[in-house]
Parts: sequence; structure tokens; C-alpha cells
Amino acid sequence: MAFVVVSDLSKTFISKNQMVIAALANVSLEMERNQFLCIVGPSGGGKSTLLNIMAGFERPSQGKVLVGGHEVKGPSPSRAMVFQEFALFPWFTVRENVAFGLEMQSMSKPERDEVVSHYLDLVGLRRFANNFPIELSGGMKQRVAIARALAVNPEMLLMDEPFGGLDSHTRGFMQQELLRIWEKERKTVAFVTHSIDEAITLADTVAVIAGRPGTVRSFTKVSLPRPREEADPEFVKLKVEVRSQIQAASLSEEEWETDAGGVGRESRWRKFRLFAR
Amino acid sequence: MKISTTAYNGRPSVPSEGAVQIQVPGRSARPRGVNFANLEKRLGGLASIAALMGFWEALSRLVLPRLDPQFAILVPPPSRAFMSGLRALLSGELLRHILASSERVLLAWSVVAVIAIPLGIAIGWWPRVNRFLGPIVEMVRPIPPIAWIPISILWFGIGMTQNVFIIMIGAFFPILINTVHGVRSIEPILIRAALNLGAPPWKLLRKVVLYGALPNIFTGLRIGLGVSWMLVVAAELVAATSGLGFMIEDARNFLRTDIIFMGMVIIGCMGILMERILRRVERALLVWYHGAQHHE
Ligand SMILES: Nc1ncnc2c1ncn2[C@@H]1O[C@H](COP(=O)(O)OP(=O)(O)O)[C@@H](O)[C@H]1O
Ligand SMILES: [Mg+2]
Repeated sequence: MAFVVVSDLSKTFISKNQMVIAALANVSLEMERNQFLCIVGPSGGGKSTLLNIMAGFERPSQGKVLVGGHEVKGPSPSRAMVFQEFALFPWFTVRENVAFGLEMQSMSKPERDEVVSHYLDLVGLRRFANNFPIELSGGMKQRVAIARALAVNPEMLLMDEPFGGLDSHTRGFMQQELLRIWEKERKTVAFVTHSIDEAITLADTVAVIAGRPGTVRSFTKVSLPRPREEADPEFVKLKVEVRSQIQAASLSEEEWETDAGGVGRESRWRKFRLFAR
Repeated sequence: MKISTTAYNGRPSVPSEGAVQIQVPGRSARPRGVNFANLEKRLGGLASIAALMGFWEALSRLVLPRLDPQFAILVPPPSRAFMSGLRALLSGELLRHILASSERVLLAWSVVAVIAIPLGIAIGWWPRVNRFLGPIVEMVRPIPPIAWIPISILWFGIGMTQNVFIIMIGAFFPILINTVHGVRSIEPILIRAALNLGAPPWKLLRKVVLYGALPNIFTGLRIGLGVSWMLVVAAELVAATSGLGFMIEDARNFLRTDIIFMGMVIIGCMGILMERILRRVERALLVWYHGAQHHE
């Protein structure tokens, strides 16, 4: 069995005004150990929802997630998350942020210091160990967050548009940094992005999730050697392929929405089913 | 490109990715001499106060006695208030009152902080505690603290205990409410991050919720201290035999308006002093929140 198995996952939210929002429907995917999976798709497609369920922040409405054969039931350091908003603790220094997870495991101070130093070196921020997050640039903050996630020695990394808030220059730099780190510390990575370029630069496999509710539209293997060049004809070919998959998804979406009353009927039916349960 | 000017505490200043690092002079390199622009500003402020004092002095020495001798007593010249202040200071009398008031304020305020901060965290964090205690808080809070004076005199008599009680009532709610607000304004994503990193409930509360609420807790402490200082005077006016409030009330009996005015000014100055000290402490403790600031 694959290391990560997401089987037939659906998620519906009930909004404040009692509307039923279907975020994900029947999503299934598998990841091998140490695989780098990128999930791309337009925003609102349920990518964050999928990652939040994998992290254990949200419970699925249907289906389940298995990691290493165990069902995900809640958040755990074995599935470390890197957020787009960095989510560093502003009241702790860089060093204390990276040490946070280890402290939670009650690891002794000398041991902790050693692990923290290792990861600060890995992300190249040893010099800033005693700075507060407020004093760092966006890219540095995200490197701290990556170090913090790696420090707890997780089985997998969940990254939700981690570079989405960075300028394009920093973004490219961070992609190379992430790959460099990933070569050193092999992890299973699920990486959400809405940039096709980013997905193809990073991934072993690109999954397209699109539609409302979001469903998996395709998987594309990327076997180009890293570092990858955006001007490479193979790269461009993959890009065109993935883009056409996303476009196909949004086209069929439009048809579905313009189909008179289709959406209304559908959602009413869903609501009914929810009450019936 | 952002250039940081915060080369302090030996921490390196922060360049953005790939930027050329530019040496920016830190605090030590700033000129130490007299800052003339600043001096002028301060003198300007002093000048208006001096003008007011001069006018007042002339009014109560030259004009009022001619209108009605009683007016002159009711509005004493600032110089006389100053001299009586000096005398009270030299005799140690003034210091005794200042210490008495300060002691009451600090005692009441710190006891309240120890109670209200944990309580505020509990109310802000556990909806159940809020459902239970919230209504009680909302019922007691609108009662002005000084409305408690009559009953508190019956309960505790005149003196320290009653004064402290009144201050505690007044300081309690600003500290409590701000702590609750602080807990509720913590970004949910930080709670998620902490849970993700394996934080057990108790550590989550101590390492994330408490810290996250700290800026608001400090706001509450500052407001609470201001309220305490107002209330110590109110309580002493009616129920004390020492303290600045007592001092000016006592002076009323002897028509010593110079002491009354002097006392009022000192009460104001003490309030400012306490606020300033607390702000300093806050700046030092919340560097992560305010950033490193060199200029006030
Ligand atoms: N907590 C929530 N409550 C209600 N609706 C939600 C919630 N979280 C997400 N949604 C909805 O689910 C859909 C998918 O959102 P999301 O997973 O954030 O998509 P993506 O990350 O791909 O942009 C959106 O329509 C969003 O409004
Ligand atoms: Mg998202």
C-alpha cells in the first residue's frame, strides 16, 4: 500500500447563513514515500481544504486519509504544515520558533539546541537565530517556518501555497532552496500552489484539482531532472498539458453552471441529503 | 529594497534576499550632542506653561485681592503653592502621603492583576467559562467603582483595606476585559500551528495564548493603573488618614488652598510617572510586538 492514501474524500461546510458549501468531492490520491506531489488548481477548488484534512485540522465529511497505514484523526507533528501566512510565533525568536515543536516533546535543552542549529544552518539563517520574526523579510520567515516544520522530524510536509505571498524573485529563490533542502532531508511532500510553473519546477507528480466542489482532474508525472529550466521545451510541453487540463475543468464547470437551474437543483438536492442524514 | 535600521543588541540588521547589505549606523553612531530642534520644542512647551503661571501669579497677587480678599485665598498664587510643596517635601510630610497612596495603588493593582489575568484567559479561551462568568461580569461592570464607597466603608471601615478594595473594583474590569479581548484576537492560524507541532493543552495556553494576549494585557494593566490612581484619591478623600487624597481634603478644612493645588499637581505628576514607567517595561518586554524602537 502507498504511504499516503486519500480515499474518496468529500467535505461540505455549512456557512453562517446555513448554506451548504461543497468544497471537495470524492477525491482519491496516493503518494509514495519521499514523493513530491504538487496540487494545482484555481482558488476555491478545495486545495486548502484537502491539506487541512490531511493535517488533521478538519474532519472529512466522507472518506478518509491514511498516512503510513494509520488513519488521520487530528493534527500531529508527523505531518508538519507550512502555511502561506508563515504562522511564526511573533513573541519567540527565530531559534525559539524552530525549537517550539521539540520543546513540546519535552526534549532536553542541549539536545534541542543541537537540532535547532542543524536546521538553522540548513535554511541558512544561523546568523538570525536571535532575531524576532518581525525583523525578517518574507522569504526568511518562510525559511524559518520550514526549519520549524523539519525540526520535529515529520514523516511528511504539508505546504499550502508557502511561497504565494512572496515576490517573484524571492519565490524562485525559495523554490530552489526548498529543492536543495528536500534533496538533503528526503520527505514526502504535498505542496499546494496555483502556479503551474511552480508545480512543474518542483514536483514528481502534478495533481490538478478543480471545480466546485473540487475533484481531482488529472495526474501528470514530471520526470525532468532537477534543476528544471522553464525555457526547456519539455517543461513548456508539460505546462501546456497541465494548463489545458485546468482549462478543461473550468470549461466543463461553466457548462454545468449555465445549464439552466442545474446548480440550484444540485445544491438543493445536496441540502436535502444533508438533512436526511 | 528595504533597509533595516535596527542594528541593535548586536543582532545583525536584515537585508532582503539577494540584496546588497548596506551598513546602516545603529544607535551608537547617532550624534550625542544637544538636539536643537528637540530642545526648541520642549522650550516652546515650557513657555506656554510659564505664561499661564505668570498670568495666574499676577491675577492672584495683584487683581484678586483688590476685588475681594476671599477670592485671593481661593485662588492662591502658584509660587505660594510651590513653596508650601517645598516645605512639605523637606519635612517629609509629602513623601509620607505619596508613599501611602502609592502603596495602596500598587498593592491593589498587583493583586488584581494576579486574579484578573488568569480569569480573563479562562473566559477568553473556554466558551463554557465565558457562558458561566460572562453574565456576572456584565452585571457588576457597569457599576461605577465609586458607587461602592458607602458599602465598602461599612464593610471595611476607614483606611487601607477600604481604599484597596475600591481600587481593586476599579482596576479589575479593564484588566479582565482587555485580557479576554487579547485571547480572542489571537490569530487562529497560530493555534493551528501550535497544535500541528504537538502542543498539549497546557503548553498551548502558556506558550501561545498567554503570549498572544500579552499586548492587550499590557493595555489593560496600563488602563487599570490609571484608574487605580484616580480611585485612590477618591477613596482617600472620604476614608483615610493618610495619602494624597487625604492631604488635600485635610487642607480644605484649614482653607490651605496652596496645599490643595500643590497636592493636585503632584497627584497628576504621579499618574504620569506611573504610566511612563509601565510603558518602559512594556517596551522592553514586547520588543517582538512593537519592533525595536529607538525614538519615542
Ligand atoms: N471553514 C469554512 N467554512 C465554510 N466554507 C469554507 C470553509 N473553508 C473553505 N470553505 C469553502 O470551500 C471552498 C474551497 O476552499 P479552499 O479549500 O480554501 O480552496 P483553495 O485553497 O483551493 O482556494 C471555497 O468555496 C471556500 O469558500
Ligand atoms: Mg487555499
